[in-house]
Amino acid sequence: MNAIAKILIAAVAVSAAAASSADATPSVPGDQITVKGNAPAICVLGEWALKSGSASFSPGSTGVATFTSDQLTGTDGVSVLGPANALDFHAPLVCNTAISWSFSTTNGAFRLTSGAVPPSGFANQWLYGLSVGPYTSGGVQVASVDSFTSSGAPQYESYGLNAGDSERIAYMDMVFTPVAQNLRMLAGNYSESITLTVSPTL
Amino acid sequence: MIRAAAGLGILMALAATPALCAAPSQMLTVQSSVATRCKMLPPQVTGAGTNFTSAGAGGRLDLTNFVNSSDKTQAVNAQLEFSIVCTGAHSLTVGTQSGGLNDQTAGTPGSGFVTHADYGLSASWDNTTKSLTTNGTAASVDLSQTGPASGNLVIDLNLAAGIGPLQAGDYTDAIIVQLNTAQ
Repeated sequence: MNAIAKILIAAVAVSAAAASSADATPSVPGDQITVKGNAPAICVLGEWALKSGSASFSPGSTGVATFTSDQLTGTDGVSVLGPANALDFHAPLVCNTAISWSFSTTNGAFRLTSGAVPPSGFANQWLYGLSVGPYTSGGVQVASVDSFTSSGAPQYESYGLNAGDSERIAYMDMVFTPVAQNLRMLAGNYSESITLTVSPTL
Repeated sequence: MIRAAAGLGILMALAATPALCAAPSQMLTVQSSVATRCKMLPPQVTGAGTNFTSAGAGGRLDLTNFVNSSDKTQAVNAQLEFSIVCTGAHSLTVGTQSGGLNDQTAGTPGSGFVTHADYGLSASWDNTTKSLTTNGTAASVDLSQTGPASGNLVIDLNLAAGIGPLQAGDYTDAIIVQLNTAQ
């Protein structure tokens, strides 16, 4: 019955036009249903996964990659960590709108957590190269990829992508590449954290 | 009217749907630990009246002018330097095994003779110096550090002149340097 009523409404409109000259049937009041929808802007950023590189890895919303102690220094305490120890991480990303994405580093270095100041002849951190950017499922880079070498100070970078580009993204890629250094390293725990944030922009 | 109200309800629900981002941020942490490492090189030895033969991490120090024509000791000052690096806390001791130079094979010395000669030992490491004088029993000095250090462990041996007369024989002692990481 409802569908029939809607057809009648359309017919009334035509009749009304005719009525202006024919002075015929008055319009019949009726109900109208408007159906509208809005697809919300959605970005789903998945958990980090270690794609290549030698380290133990604990996935999760806070992924943790752990080098062995032997990957860091030799028996004489001198660093052996370097580009050969690079780690490549992927985090799946699906967005249906324009986005901004950003990353921030906690230390700007892979640094001794105790904060101990190294005496002469010792070092307490490694600098590293970082490459971060979006890629398609076929591994094609989408728009810009940020690459830099850390300076020892925290760093923050932000980028925007239009909808056409962001909808092509399948994952965010992050490559962490330690910088080799012929320095004697202080004993202790070392750490660096990098946070990636993706936000839809309407 | 009922249908109109229902349609309005749908519109309101859609309009209230916010922009979603199921997991806006993901943190990644890279971590590891550097173990304490210590390395010690064989010593460099200087001192008049001495001859050093390296063997492994240590060696043998011969006192070439041990006694004079009266069989009494002649003064000797020898310096041994061990290059050491430790990236963290470590224990370091320098000790004498016999507590002096002893004739290991001698029996009871003849009247007026001795079979033992004490000497002084001073060891310096990372701005700390400790000393001992042998007295016939094993002894050591402790130069352990709670943090990293690099440089030379310097051991000074001082044998005074005039000890004796010494009974003929081979006099020996062992100076033992022990270096370990301390976790």
